[in-house]
Amino acid sequence: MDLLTIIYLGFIFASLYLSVFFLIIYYKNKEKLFEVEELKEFPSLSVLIPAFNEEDTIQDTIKAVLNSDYPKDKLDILVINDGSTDKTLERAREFDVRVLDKKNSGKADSLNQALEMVDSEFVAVVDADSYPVENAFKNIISHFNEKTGGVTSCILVKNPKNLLEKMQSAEYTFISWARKLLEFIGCVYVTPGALSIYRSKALKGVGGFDTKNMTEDIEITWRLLRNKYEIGMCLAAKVFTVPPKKFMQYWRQRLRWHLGGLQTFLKYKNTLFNNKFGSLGLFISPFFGISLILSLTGLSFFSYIILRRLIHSVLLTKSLISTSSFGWYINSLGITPSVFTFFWLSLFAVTLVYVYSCYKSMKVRFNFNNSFILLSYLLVYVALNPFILVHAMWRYTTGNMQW
Amino acid sequence: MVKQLDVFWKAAIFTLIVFLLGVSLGYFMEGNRIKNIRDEYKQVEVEWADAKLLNSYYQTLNPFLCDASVKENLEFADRVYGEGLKLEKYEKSNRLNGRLLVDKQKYALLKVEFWLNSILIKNKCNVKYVNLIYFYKDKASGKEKIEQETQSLILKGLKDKYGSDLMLIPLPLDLNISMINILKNAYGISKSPSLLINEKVKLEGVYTLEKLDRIIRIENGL
Repeated sequence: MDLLTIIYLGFIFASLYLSVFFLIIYYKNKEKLFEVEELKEFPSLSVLIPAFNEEDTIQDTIKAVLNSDYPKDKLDILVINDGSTDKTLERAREFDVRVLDKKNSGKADSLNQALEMVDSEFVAVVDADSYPVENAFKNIISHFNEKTGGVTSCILVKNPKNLLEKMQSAEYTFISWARKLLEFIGCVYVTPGALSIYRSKALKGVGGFDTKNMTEDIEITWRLLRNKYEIGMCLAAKVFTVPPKKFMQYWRQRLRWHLGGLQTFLKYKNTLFNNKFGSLGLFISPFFGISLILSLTGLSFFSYIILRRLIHSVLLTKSLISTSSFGWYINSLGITPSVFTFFWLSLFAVTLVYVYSCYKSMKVRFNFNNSFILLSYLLVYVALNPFILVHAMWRYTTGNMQW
Repeated sequence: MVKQLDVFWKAAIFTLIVFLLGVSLGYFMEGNRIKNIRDEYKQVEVEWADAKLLNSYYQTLNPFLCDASVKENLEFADRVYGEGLKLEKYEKSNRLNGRLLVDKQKYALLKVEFWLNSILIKNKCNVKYVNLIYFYKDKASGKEKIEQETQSLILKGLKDKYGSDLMLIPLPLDLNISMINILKNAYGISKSPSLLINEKVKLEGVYTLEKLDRIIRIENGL
C-alpha cells in the first residue's frame, strides 16, 4: 500500500466517522431537537444591538426585536452605534429604545461598554442585520439551566436570491442542525452574534468580550466553557440574517472567521486534550486542531492529485489530438472497481442520509432547485474553505490581521 | 444537559466495521482478480506448451502444414495480448496489494518466447504477417508516459485494423529481464516508446496510425 492510498483511506475514515457521529446523535435525539420548555416566569432581558454603518438594516432589526412576544416590561433594548459614518444613529433614534452613541472601537468593545449599562439577568446580542422571530427570546431563555452560561439560536439566511446566498443558506441550515446535535455532547463551540443570549453574571464574571479577538463570539464561548459553564443551542429559536451577497464580501467574512478561530485556538492551546477543561479540552479544541491539520493536508493532497491528473489529461489530450487518436481513447475508457469504489459509495450513502435527516428535521423541501444548490454546495462551496483557511494562516503568520 | 459521550465510541465502532468491511472487500476483490489472472496465466502456459508442440510437429514431421502452425500462433498472439491488457488494468486498480511485478515478468518472458517462435514460423512458412514489437517502460512518467499512452492507443487502433495480420507484442524495458535487456542492446533501443517492425525497422517516439500503416505496407511489399 503506497502513501497516497494510506492518506486517501485516512480521509475517507475521518469523513465517514464524522458523518456517522452526527447521524447517531441525530437518531438518538431526533424527538428532542425542537424541545422547548414553557417559561413560568420571565427574567429581565437586555437586548444589545451593536451597529456600525447599518443604516439599511438597523430599523428592521429593532422592529423584529420590538415584535418579540417577550414581556415588554422585562425587555430592555440598547442599540450601540459604534461610530457609524452613515445614518445608523438617526434611524435607531426613531424608535423608543436606548441608544449608546460612541466612537468606533469595534464590536467587542461596544458590547463591553453596553454591558456596563445593563443590570438585567440575561443579555442578548443581536447583530444589526439579523431578525429574530417572535418567540426566539422566550425559547432561548427557557433553555437555560443553572449551569448554562450562554445559549445560541438557529441562524438562517433571509431571502437568499443569488447562488452564493443560496449556498450559504444551505450551509446555515446544516450548521444550525449540526450545532444542535453538538449540544447533546456538550460541545457547542460558538454563540454567534446573530442571536445569542448570555447569563449576565456569567458574561460579566468572565470579564466580558475579548476586544483583541476578531471573533468575539467564538472566544467568549470558549472562555465560558473554560470557566465550567455549559453552552446550549435552541433550534426552536430562529433568527434570520443577511449573508454576504458578493464573493469578495463572503471571502472577507470567512477570512475574519478563520483569523478569529485561529486566535482563539492559539489562546486556548493549553486546553488541548486536558481533562480539566471538560468538553473544551477533550473535544472542541482537539477537533479544531485536527480540522486545521485535515484541511491543510487535505488541500495539499487533493490539489496534488487533481493538478497531476489535470496536467496529465491536458498533455494527453493534446498528444492524442495531434496524432488523431482521441477516438480510441474514448473507447478505451472504463472503470475497474477498486477498494475506493466501495468507500466512495459508502460515503455517498452516508452523506445522502445526512442531508435527508437534516432537511427532514429542518423541514426543508427537496426539489430540483435544491438539488442543484446542494450539489454546488457540496462540490464547490465546501472545497473553498481550506483555501480561505490557508489565506487566514498566511495573514496570521505575517501579522496582517486586516480583513 | 446530559452529555451523551457514548456517541464517540459508537461512531468509532460503526465506522471501523464499515472500514474493515471495505478493506476486506477490497482485499477479496483484488485477491480474486490476481487469482484469476494467475489461473489464466497457467492456462496460457498450457496453451503455449501445446502450441509449441504442435509447431514442432508441423515443422519436423509435416513441414508443409504451415497454415495450421501460423493459425495456432496468431490465436495465441491475440490471447497473450488480451491478457497483457487485462493485467495492466488490474494493476492500475490494485490499491492494497501493490504491483503485480512477478506476474508481469512472467507474461513478458512468455511474449519474448512467443516472438521468437513467431520469427521462426514466418521464416519457415514464408507468411506475410507483421511482427510489431512495442518497447515501453512499465514505470514511465512525465512526457514519456504521455507518449507511451498515445502510442499504445494508436497501436490498439492498428491492431483493430490489421487483425491477425499483425502480431503486436508489447515488451517492458524496465522489468529487469535479461532477455529483454539483450534484445534492447541488439536492436539499439534507447528510449520509450520504441517500435520494431519485422525485426528490421526501428522507430523511436510516437508514430501516427497513418505513418505506421505506410511503413508496414512498404515493409510487406503491399
